[in-house]
Amino acid sequence: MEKDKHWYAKKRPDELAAVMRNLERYLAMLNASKSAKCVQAGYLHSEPMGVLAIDQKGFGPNLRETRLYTYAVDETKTVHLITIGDKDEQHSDIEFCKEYVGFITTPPATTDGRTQKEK
Amino acid sequence: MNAEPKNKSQARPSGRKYDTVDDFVASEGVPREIRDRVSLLKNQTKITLQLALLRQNGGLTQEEMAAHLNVTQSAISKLEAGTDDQLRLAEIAHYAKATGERICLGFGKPLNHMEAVKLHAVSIKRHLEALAKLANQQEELGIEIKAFFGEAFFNMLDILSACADKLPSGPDFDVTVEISNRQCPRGITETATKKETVAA
Repeated sequence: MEKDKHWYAKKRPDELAAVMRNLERYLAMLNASKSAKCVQAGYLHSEPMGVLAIDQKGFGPNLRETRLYTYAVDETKTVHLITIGDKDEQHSDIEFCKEYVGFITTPPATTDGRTQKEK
Repeated sequence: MNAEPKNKSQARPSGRKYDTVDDFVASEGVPREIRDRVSLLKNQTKITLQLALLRQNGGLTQEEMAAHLNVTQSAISKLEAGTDDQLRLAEIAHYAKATGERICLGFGKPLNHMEAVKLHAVSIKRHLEALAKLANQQEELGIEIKAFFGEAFFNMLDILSACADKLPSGPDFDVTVEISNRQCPRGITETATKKETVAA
């Protein structure tokens, strides 16, 4: 998210601020719920593999469509901030998220290269 | 929260973790203007966030809340994701009614801490007087109210004492609170004298 975050801060500050505020709102609702699946808000979009995209909605019609991709782990109460992008990058961003979630949800490989699951 | 660097060839966690969004933006080099803008948006969405939390804590979906307000689900979604200046009082009232929760609307100048304590003290007095009146009217309830008075009395002293302990110590002046039989509210049987020293 490093390069994108700086690009957004420079080129789309209002969009970045809106997404950050919606992230705060999402976290407040998440903290008050049993599971990430229970949170319902207009600025949240479900994506494949449990990824949730937070958009810029709620702060005026002039903001460009922006999405911050997140993944919540209920057990550890952790929200992973995966990447941020606009509509044009949506497809590649989702592919990136899938790879990311695949990595963090796959059990570590054992010495023979197989995962515990495969054994 | 776990902040992740975007690298198309390697989608891996960075290992950096933050407790709050404030910590995240402060530590990740997000410019001050953006942080100020987030604070501004925060102030503009305090009530809508509370309404969304009220609905969620009340176990209601946006569809169910929409049925209570006789509007569409998307209207609820827009309301909760919007800013406070778009809200109508009727909508706030409907949220309170649908969730069975209390929503207070306050008027007046902002209070400092001392004024707030005084205001609460006046409110506590009013409620205690109402309870005392009730105790005189209903004998059975009176026993419970007397017990409650005793509990409240010691709890308030406890709070005062605990907060006073956090004050800087100094020789300026000490306040000694001495509780004797005579000063205890009626119905309190703990007659031992208790001393609390409140340093101010």
